[in-house]
Amino acid sequence: VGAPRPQRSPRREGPGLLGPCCGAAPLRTVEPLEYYRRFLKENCRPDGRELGEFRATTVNIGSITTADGSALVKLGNTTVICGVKAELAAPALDSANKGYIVPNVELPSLCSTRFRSGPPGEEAQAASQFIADVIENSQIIAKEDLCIADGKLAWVLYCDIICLDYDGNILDASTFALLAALKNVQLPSVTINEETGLSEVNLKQKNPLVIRKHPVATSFAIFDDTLLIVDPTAEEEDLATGTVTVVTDEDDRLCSVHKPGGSPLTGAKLQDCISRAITRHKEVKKLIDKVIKSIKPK
Amino acid sequence: MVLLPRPTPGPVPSAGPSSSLSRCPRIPSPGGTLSPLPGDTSVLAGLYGPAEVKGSRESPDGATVEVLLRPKVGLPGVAERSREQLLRRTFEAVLLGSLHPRTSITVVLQVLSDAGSLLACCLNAACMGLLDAGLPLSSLFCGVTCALDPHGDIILDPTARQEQEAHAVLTFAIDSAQRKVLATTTRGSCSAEEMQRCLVAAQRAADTIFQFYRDCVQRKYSKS
Amino acid sequence: MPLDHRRLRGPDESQPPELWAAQPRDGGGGEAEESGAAPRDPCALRPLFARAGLLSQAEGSAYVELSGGTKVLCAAWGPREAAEPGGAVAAGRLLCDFRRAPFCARGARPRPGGAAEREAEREAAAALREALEPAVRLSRYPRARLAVSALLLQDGGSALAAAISAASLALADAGVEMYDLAVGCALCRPPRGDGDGDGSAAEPWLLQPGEAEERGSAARLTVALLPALNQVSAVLGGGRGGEPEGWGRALRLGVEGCQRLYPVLRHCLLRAARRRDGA
Repeated sequence: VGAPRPQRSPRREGPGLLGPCCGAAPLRTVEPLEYYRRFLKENCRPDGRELGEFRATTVNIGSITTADGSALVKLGNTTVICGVKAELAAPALDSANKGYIVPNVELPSLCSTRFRSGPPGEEAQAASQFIADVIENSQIIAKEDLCIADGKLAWVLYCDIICLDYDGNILDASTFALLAALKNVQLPSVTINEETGLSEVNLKQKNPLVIRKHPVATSFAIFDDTLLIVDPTAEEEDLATGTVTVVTDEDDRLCSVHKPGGSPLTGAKLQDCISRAITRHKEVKKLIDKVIKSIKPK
Repeated sequence: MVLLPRPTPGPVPSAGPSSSLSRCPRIPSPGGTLSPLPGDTSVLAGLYGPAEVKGSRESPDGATVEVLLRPKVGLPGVAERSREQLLRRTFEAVLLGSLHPRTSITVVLQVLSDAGSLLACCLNAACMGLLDAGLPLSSLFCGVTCALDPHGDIILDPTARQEQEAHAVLTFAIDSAQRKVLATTTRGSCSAEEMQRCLVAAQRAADTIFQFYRDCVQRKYSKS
Repeated sequence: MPLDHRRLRGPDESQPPELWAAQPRDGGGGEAEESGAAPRDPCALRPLFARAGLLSQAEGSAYVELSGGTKVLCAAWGPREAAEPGGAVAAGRLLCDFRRAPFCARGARPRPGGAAEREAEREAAAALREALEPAVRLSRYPRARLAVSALLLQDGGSALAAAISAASLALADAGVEMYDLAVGCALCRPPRGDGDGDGSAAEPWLLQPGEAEERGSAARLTVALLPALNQVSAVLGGGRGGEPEGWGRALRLGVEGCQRLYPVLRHCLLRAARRRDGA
């Protein structure tokens, strides 16, 4: 437990109507929950956002040239990078016509003081499982597409997602980074030589992956058991009494409704989350299409 | 079954298994058989605490909840860790942990057999464990798994085979106070409307389970 | 080998596609062409981009990129209470952590958490600590610990040197008291040609080698310099053969390289400080 961290950039304070909040910096340290409640009462947050407002989202595709596909996603301060490396392996015995997608989320000590160096902790593992579930549920890529020769050879896509700056809502950022990186993947073409039975890889000729679905995650934090705020920061996540993450695809189907405990919600509230997630999906889809298009002309 | 004394608030230094093991089958069928039949899903829950907590995990505001989920074979992996997180946060939501500050409460769940609806079974077993230990809770909770078969019909409490054939499987943790959703996790994809239908079905099934809890506890207390 | 239960595992075995590439893949082909086509100036420095203070959760942070694709991110945390009381030992401790992203290099993806990977990371972390410790005024932080974490996002050669520069920038950005910035610079010596004999003068050391040059090299050297004090804080390297004078020359060349990088890093720190004041 160290001294309170010096506040680097004074955050944009809410509108001037927040009389009691003026000079409330000590309150933020001593009674962070009370500090937040004062803002939430006025329907805004200490960083100037409204309750349903997302942080600025940016995506940068293909910055890591050693990976077969990569993307860097920023959600406000939260920064996540996903690099995909493709390797060849024999398909599993029980699913001879399928390739593999192996996602792993890493939260290194670099991204926040709350994580220690060493093997992944509970939060990183839960995030890995969440991403694996999203891949499985949404069928983002048909695993059959990754198969080169039935029972002999298939692609393995290792999707390593590393958080660089942990300021909350890691699941949304990770899902987005994964999608953007997969859209960036270029696999070399592989042919099986009929005579020798050996596979030949042509590194010059590259093909993009077929992305079947575009899952987009939207996370909410529950405050004081009732209030839903969207895209929480790390501070908000710590103070919240629960979180919900909804993943939808472009057909407005739910790929995942993940609520790991926390304050109970009614069905109506969940429906509210789902509708907002559907709206968010459209925005994110538009953003990713724009970025992909800006890269294509090269 | 032995009735164990109510745990006293504050650390119990030499805590053996200070509370009971409770065995809970899946949602009771109308016939109401209680012992896990072969082919059933069964989970053994053991609850330890409130006991002394290690220094680094000590929380001055409430109890530190720890959940250990042991698979039937092998060591727990990433999937178990993710479920442990869900279970832990569900317990934390209902447990009045502030009554036991600076203590640890450990719930160990050992999967005995898995024939589908495993997570729901874990939730039910754990709730029975908490109930049996006499820990103060704000409400009870239960787990219900719903599967949507290819025709869009809801199958409550599906078997492993039904889960595999279904296009979506949803698991809810429902609280007893207002039938709200404490936790959910889904597999496969479904529409929002289908999810709401499942939720309603789960809430209805929850009533049966809570009645079952009541019967169990009643039987236990009338025996001793 | 014990299985890793904390990560999702793929198939037991998988090979990078380069292994199956149709063209002969003895490693020499492509690179020989490259280096043959453009014999580069051995003293040329790759343009360096540095930015400090970009992470929100770290007290100090820095990102260093060498053109050609080496990308390192560093975060630093100022004095914290030491985990184990050092007793009478007055000076603070500098803890270094070095991680390599699984996608940072070409070819096979290393298994994160694997024994070889852990060993490589530990070695790099030790090297980082060796290079940084003389630059930090540890005696000013009794019974405390300072932490530096480096993450190599992409390895395009000279990675350790870039990490040293980035880590010292991050420490400075965190407001840790330092004698000077530690600037890192890497060199490598390509394998000797045919007509070697005594020709020590013919061995060119390349400053800040790229990944391909580094892979084919016979000897490597990373020099860390405290430019304002003109003191070398670490010399790390090794390799086959080479005259003592050759190594001496390499050291001088490296020191000169560090001196040339210094203004870039200083400028980056100044900009970060100005941004902070302006905000």
